[in-house]
Amino acid sequence: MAGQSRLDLLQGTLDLLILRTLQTAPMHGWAISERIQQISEKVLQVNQGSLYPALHRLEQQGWIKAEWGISELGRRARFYQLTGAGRKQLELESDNWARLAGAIGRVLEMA
Amino acid sequence: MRWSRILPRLRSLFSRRKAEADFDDEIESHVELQARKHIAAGLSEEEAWRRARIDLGGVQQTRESVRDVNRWRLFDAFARNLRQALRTLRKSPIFTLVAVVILAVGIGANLAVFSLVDSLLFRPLPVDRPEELVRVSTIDKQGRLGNLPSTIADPVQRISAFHGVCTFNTSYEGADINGAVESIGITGFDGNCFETLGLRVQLGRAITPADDSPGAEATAVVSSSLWHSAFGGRADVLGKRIKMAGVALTVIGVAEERFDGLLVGFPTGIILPLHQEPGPLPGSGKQAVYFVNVLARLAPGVTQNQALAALATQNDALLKESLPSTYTQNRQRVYLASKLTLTSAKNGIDYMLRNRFGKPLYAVLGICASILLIACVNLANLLLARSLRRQKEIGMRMALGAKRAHVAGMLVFESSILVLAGAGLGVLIAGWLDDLVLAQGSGMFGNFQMKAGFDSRVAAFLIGAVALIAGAFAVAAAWQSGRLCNFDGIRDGGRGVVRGSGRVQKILIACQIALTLALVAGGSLFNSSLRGLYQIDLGLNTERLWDVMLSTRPEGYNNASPGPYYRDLLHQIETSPGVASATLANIVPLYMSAVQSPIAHIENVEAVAERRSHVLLAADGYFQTLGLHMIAGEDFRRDDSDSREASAIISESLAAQFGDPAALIGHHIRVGSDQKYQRLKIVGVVSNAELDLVHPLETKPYNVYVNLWQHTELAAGGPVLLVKTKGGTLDIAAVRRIVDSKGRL
Repeated sequence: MAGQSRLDLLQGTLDLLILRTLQTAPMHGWAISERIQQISEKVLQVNQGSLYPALHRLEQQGWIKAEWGISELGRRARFYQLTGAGRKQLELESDNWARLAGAIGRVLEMA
Repeated sequence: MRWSRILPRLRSLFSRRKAEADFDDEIESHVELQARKHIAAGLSEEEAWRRARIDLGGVQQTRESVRDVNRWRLFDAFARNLRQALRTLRKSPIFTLVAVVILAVGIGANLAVFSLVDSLLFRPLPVDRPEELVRVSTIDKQGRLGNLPSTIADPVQRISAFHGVCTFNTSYEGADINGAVESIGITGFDGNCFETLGLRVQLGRAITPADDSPGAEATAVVSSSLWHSAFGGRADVLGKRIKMAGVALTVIGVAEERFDGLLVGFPTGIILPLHQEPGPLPGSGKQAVYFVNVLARLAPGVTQNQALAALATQNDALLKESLPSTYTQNRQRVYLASKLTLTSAKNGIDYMLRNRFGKPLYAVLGICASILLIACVNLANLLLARSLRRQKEIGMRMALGAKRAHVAGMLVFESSILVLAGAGLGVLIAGWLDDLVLAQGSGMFGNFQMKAGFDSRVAAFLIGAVALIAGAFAVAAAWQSGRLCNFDGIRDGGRGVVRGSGRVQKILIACQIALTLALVAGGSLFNSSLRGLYQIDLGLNTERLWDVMLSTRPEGYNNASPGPYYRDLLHQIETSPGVASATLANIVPLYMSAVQSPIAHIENVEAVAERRSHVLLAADGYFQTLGLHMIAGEDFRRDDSDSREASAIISESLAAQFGDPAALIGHHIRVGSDQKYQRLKIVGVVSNAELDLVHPLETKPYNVYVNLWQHTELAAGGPVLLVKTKGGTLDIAAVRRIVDSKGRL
């Protein structure tokens, strides 16, 4: 794996990151993983093998939906976008994450 | 779950092939983008594509894990297992056949017996809310229930614990419908029965209290099945006439489809008003008092125990009020001393079927259950033996990456298919067995007709049995898979034996032997009792003995005097070829029960025999035909008639109660409380015979044979012709020709 400071994703956080990434615009799978790496300044490494199962899982939950479009290479590609339920789920999970991160931060500072 | 969540899943289920193709596209597109990225970073094209595939973690693996996410995998696994199991079973057809047949016999026998138990004991009456119905009856010291005179209806009706009373009786008589004479089950209903039972008619109207009153027109309601069989289910049945024992009944309605009578096993075809029933004697007119079954509906909120308490407190008052004026003093005394009781009528009224066949059926059900158990152990053994042969195959599967759950699933599937196939075949076997048994039954009892159909209780039994067996096999399969999967079949080349399962097999074989021994022991006990029963000396010889039921002509008693008619009929039968002897009686020996009455010896200061005696009507030649022999005195004479002193012949056992048989000839006995039997002259003493199989082991029962020629009116309802033939069979056509040529009485 390239880059010594890259971190594997915490269990369950991939869903949150995908939802957040799709909040701005519809994207296909490869773009989602690129975007996450880019935003996190290459700190977060998305395991591409677990990206697609996660996308399909989210789709079945009804949080995202997919449509066929054309990728930048002119190929057929599946573009995912957030649904209404997905937006609510994102809010919920963001709150949870913020609370968890805050709590862990406080423990690390005080203990 | 919301539709927004369900829909994508459903879609993914139904468009699986397309979804897989789409997914391939998606992955390809991803890999290409990733490869471009690597090329842009300076990798060679070949290396870039290789890296792109590695980044994804393998295209095939990704595809698998996405498939795992998708819901079709369950169906996928199901279909795969099913195909696999069917293929495996097809590969060993003999094993499959043996297993299915073993299970089918086990399940079929149990289902057959249970559906008989169900229709005999558990089927509720085909009326509204049968659980509220109770039977009011007398109960004697032996716990036997008895009917009541119809005068009881009004007094019982007034008890506040009841909400409606229905009195009815049943019979089995010849009826003439459109010229065709048929024996049909008859139910006499009082005017309140339809309302009390919540019965409706599908055509016409029900019987009302006005129909059940003296002077009303003779009317009848027919059952749905008779409507279809005799009237073709046409609406013009209303107004049609049914001729029965001297009266013409006008059909006023057709009962609702579900109602087939109140007596277990004896369906009814015609329902008529109780007080319109034709009298049993020519010219006797209508009876004033009938012996009836009394059904009452419990008032809302009243329990059976509360009602019983209410009945008990009014026991004597009820009897006093309902005392029929026609009773003799003796009979009045007996009636007033009787005790009333309540029993649940939810499952119908039963005279003898449950008593006689209830416990034996449970015993047979127990036997069948152990047969099923043996079948299962047998099959378990077979499966185990087979799995040893399959070690190699299973080892191979494991080596190729099958999980233990998959192997277990495969084994569970195989055994489930066997169980289901066995159950399917078992249902067919059960239907066939029930038909066989019930056909036997209708040969034994004239009007007997029972449907051992498939109702919710039988279905529950079947599902329960199948689930139990399949569950047991599933557990066994899961356990077995554990052993098989831990075994390295490939390395041992399939020659090894799964350790430990040899012990299990031993246990299974031991179980099998133990169960089989128990069954064989039970079977031989059963067999020896059966042989013992055959060897019981009943005192009569039934070889070459035939009984012919003579039913009266539906138009009635036009030919008047039964005495000369039967003397002539008997003479013609006796003199026809192949007949050794013939006689008449009022009951079929060993099938029907005689009345039992106390007997007193008049000359011996009214000494009363210690037990009740069977009382039956017999013509001359009865003893010769049945193979009894005279101890003292002589047989009846054919020219005996009402003008001579009423005579009777008693059994040796009864004679012993009163003294020396020879000395008793010419003495008199009093039989029960019937007016006609108060003084019968003993003309003969005959050897002991058991004519009634209700108590087969009752030794030397007391019998009184009353001279039929002096009571021909009592036999007029349809006496039994008993014929002893010289050769093998009775020429029934010849008998019918004789009876028809004479015209029926």
